[in-house]
Amino acid sequence: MPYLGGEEAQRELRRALSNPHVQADPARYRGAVLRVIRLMSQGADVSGLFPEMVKAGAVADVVQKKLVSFYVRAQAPRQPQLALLAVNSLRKDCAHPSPAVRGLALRTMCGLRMPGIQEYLQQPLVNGLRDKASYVRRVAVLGCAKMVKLQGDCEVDGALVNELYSLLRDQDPIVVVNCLRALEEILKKEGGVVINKPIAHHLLNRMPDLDQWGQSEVLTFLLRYKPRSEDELFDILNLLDGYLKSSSPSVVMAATKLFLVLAREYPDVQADVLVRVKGPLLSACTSESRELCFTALCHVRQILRSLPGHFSSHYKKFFCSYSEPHYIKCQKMEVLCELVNDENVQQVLEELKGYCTDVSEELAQGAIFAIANIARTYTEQCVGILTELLGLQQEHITSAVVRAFRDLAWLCPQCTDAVCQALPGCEDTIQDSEGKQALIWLLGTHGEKIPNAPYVLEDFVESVKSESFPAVKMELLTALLRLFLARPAECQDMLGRLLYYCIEEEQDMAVRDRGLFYYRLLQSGVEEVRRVLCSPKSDPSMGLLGDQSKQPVNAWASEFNTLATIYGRERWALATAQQPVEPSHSCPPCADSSSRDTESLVSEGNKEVPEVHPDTPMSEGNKELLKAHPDAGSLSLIPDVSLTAEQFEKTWLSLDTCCQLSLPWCGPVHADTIQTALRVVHIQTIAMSKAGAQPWKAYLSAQDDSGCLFLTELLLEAADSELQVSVKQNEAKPEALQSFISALRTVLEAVAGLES
Amino acid sequence: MLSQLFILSSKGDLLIHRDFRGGSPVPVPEFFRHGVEQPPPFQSLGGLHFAHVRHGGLFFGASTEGDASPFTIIEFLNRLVTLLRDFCGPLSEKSLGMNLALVGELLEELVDFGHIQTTTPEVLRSLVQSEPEVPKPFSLLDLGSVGLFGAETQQSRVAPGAAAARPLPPARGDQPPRPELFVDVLERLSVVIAANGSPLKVEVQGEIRLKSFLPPGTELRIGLTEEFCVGKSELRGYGTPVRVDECSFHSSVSLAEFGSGRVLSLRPEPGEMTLMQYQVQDEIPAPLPFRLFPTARAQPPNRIHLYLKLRCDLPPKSQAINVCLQLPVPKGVSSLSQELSSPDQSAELDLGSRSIRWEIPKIQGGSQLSALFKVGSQNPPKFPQKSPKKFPKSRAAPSSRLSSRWGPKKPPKFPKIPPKFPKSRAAPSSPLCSRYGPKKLPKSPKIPPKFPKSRAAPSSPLCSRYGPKKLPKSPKIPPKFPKSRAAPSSRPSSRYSPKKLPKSPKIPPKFPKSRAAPSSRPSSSWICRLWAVPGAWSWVLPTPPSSCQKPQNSPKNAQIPQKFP
Repeated sequence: MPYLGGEEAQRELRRALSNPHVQADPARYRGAVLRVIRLMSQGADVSGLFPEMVKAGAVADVVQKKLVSFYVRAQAPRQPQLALLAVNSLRKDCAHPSPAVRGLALRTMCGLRMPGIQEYLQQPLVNGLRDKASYVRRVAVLGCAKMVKLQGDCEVDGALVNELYSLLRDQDPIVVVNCLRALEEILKKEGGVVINKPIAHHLLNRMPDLDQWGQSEVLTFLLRYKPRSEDELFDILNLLDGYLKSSSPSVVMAATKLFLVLAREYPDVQADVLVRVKGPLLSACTSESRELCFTALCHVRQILRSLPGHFSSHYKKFFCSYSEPHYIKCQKMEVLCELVNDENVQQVLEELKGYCTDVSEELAQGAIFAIANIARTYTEQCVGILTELLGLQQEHITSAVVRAFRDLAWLCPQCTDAVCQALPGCEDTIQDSEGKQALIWLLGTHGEKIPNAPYVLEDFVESVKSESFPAVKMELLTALLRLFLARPAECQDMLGRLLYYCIEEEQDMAVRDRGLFYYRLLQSGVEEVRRVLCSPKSDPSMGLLGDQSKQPVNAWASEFNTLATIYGRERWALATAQQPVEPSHSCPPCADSSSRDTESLVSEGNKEVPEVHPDTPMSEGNKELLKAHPDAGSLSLIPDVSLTAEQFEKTWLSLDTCCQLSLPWCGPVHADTIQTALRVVHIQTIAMSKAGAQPWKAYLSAQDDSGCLFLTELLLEAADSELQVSVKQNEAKPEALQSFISALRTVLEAVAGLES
Repeated sequence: MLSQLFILSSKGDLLIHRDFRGGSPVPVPEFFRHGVEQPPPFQSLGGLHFAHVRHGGLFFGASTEGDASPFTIIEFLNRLVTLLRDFCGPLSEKSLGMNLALVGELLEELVDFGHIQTTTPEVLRSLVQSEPEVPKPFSLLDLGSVGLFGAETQQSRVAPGAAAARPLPPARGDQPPRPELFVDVLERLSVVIAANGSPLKVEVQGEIRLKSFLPPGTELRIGLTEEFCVGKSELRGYGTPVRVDECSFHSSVSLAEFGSGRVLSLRPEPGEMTLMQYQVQDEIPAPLPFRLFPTARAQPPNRIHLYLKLRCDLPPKSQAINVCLQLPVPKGVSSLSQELSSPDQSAELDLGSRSIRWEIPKIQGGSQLSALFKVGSQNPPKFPQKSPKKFPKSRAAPSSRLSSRWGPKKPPKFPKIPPKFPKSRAAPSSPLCSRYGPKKLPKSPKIPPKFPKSRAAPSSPLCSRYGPKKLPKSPKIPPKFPKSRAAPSSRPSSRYSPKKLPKSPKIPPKFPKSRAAPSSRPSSSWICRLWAVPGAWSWVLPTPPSSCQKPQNSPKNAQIPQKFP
């Protein structure tokens, strides 16, 4: 976009910059330079002033030098030839007596993103690394990383790496941290900076000198270090104990994560750490900064997933206040759902009830679904509250309540009677598609308990022509057919009319096909219809929605204090899958994800409502998943691994378990299904118990293209509804392990879905 | 590691943008520009993750490739805001534009190649050399602040002094800055009030904020009232206790004299800091600052009359300023007519948030204001009282407990009507801080420039109240101190140990110990949380004897606030 008067302004500025009178007066000179910067930040093209600006950088005024440096770095990629002009004066500045000027010049040179600059950089950088001023060393260390990034694929200079490793012993704490950061980037391909015992201990000793940013960064780097012995491990924990009480939340969280990861095998230590982090987390949750509050709430939810009772006594802290933004209220409601227990359920429900009448529809519906969530445990009270809400006859409230009822009738069959009693009268208030579908489903499935069900459905049939949502029509077809089986006398006539309409007049293909299908089904006899339509109405053992099993702490310890916790696991996988630079390590996105990838992840996550479509078998989605992604993730496993049972056994016994997880499982095991499914993703089955054996065991092996072996044991105890998976790896590659596990998990969950 | 840093205006214009890593394909995301009211703090777009914090209508955002800790990003952005405020004065689009060079310099030193370098104000002050420019408070365009013929308007009379908001002077300034200290007490109240006026839930979150222009290293002693106690169990002194449930202090505060004398001592760094945070729940000793008496009457066919009476229960000598009351209205409301009790108040219907905003520039303690709002809509709003004919009788009366929370007469669309308490610093909106000092805003007890450097001579007015004599019996709770930084082996009992072994061998540091000069200043950690520490507070301002009395009820029809002579 041409800036208004851009040409004119540029000419005038050039005149000013090259005017000797202006140059003689530092204030006016700086003013002119500042105007150039201002124009640039407004988006105007000021690249024509490059020579004048480089000249302006040669004055003694440091502020002006900084401004010019900013200009030069921004413009250099567009003007590589002219930028070499600047290099000369910058090299001169690198020998300036003032460290601030030296540092600035070095930073500017490293920041010129143009090809061919490396040869000019080498010498000043080496000098900078040995400079006596710590300010210059800080700049030089990061400069090395910038240079290597510019070089791209070239071989990394071993001498440089060694120099940086030795600078880890620098006196200045920021230089130390910068060295870690630079090495991490330079050695990215080789897995980042290596933290061995001497380095780890050195860093531990330097911790008190660092500021909060350095501390949290070093704590993150220390995650890589694996202590050799138990004693060493506990020494480290004791040494770092103070950081759990740091006044900076980022240090506390980094320390917590380190503790959780290091104490992987000591659940009591982990529990103790989580108790101690409660205070800082709670105070972050009530912090004035809403964003900090949100972040803390996400982590509270993560902890609650393993320790449901952890925050129960503090439930009042999670009550929403009026002026909070939506994203916080939604998080708080989810937290409230998860921490509810016998003692506080009354107060929590009382509070949630208040939110149901919020002015914001989104929030009100969120609160209703939160109550519905609690209803899975405290059914009676919650159904009472939801029924009361129907009395308000607000469109969005009624719709949400009916949707909640549908899920409840499906999940907790014992409350069906109460739900059925509450239903009459809702049909006039509901306008939206989702609500109508839910109501129709309820009327169809539990119609024998609702006296006026046929008449309500009749109203829908009457107005089917003006109905705008095809999904509602489909639902209506199914519901009416179901009700016809239960109360044929009342429904026969209108079913006929509906089928006639759907087959003869309906425009929507899917509805028409569904109508035809039911028509033909009816032709084959009522018994047949009954067999197809009245399959079991609810099956709690599916565990799909009621998946509230406790996760072990280790399952999320590595995600603590990362963005994965903020987004939630699925959305995080989705977000990283789009990442063009780095291939995704987590399981591939679901088939329907492409349409929503630009939407905001978090808010969507908050709105998410468990959706049940009893008419679609649950396993369909999983089947698709399995077919669509045969090679699950970026990890490429070799198809044929020649590993004999003896070799397997030997390797298995010599390795330690890297990862253990448990997956929900129900019913018997079909060995063939599992074996076939695993073969699709190139996981070989070495040995397997006979079907029906108790406990059932299977041993699997896989190898990726870098030669890393993954050995897996599946164990299903008799009474247990969980499949225990333990994975061993012959090389420590956490990323590969992560993607292997996610692939394995995808397959096993898909198989579990198929079988139940 | 940050990829970009940006500051956006409330309209989504890019004010400041830095691309640290180069070649990030994604510019600043569009979602800030579409006028989203409350975008969630973390969003993801094209493989980059955007985090932002919001301050004073501006968005301060950063993007990262995904390996960063969310706590670090948010904390850094908050820190950035504080630093910018310290360096540039009050933050606004205008002041950022004027201080472009300064902000540029600051960002340069804060972040290099996406890595946070340092945020200590002292260090930054020595590195940053531009002079701050403060937008002039008066301008011809801004006529709102000028009355007719230059007379003072209500607003200019009650607005707090801008002195505290000015930026820190540069380290190499010509003349030393005036040594001043500003102390603010900020309290946030969240209250849910039942229909009968009794508070259902009360929560006060308060903090004492310090903005110091003193030379670094000055020792400061702040005395709090001796009746201060923390938690329910502790009782001190003989007067009415000033009780808080929890309190925590900045990490640089020395608590040595707390147990006995309720004295905080510290050496504040120049700039802003939160000295102390406290929370009070459920029982607050003073009456709530405001009380609202709403009456709603439906006027068929499509109007509602809302009669609101707002009583200010502050002590009669205090006043609340910039009070804003927000009242949600049913959807469908399209018009508003109003009768307010004095001309300086204003009210408007905000269709976006479906609420009425009633703004009151000043309300005297003990007085009462009233307003009559007539809201109307094109379509008659649905009231649950009007039972639709179709339904059985039992449904018609929504006598549910839900609506009884707000009184049976009101339509259920009126949820809690929270009196919105002014957030401005100057407003003594809380009962707690209104205890101290009639009419004086809690802002800025100015402290004379001379500061005694030694503790022995407490000639400063701040600590003059607290002599050596102490209350005879004061149950001492030993303050919990953070554990020493010493090596783990030096501690007799270690917290984490394998169950079997009590001994924990020393970690032999393999590197030569090259700690040449450990900086004497503690690291710039922010707020320290010490739950068990007994703390107390009181101000320098003398406590007036009448301040604890209940506000006298104003005469029945005193709807017009008392005017100044």
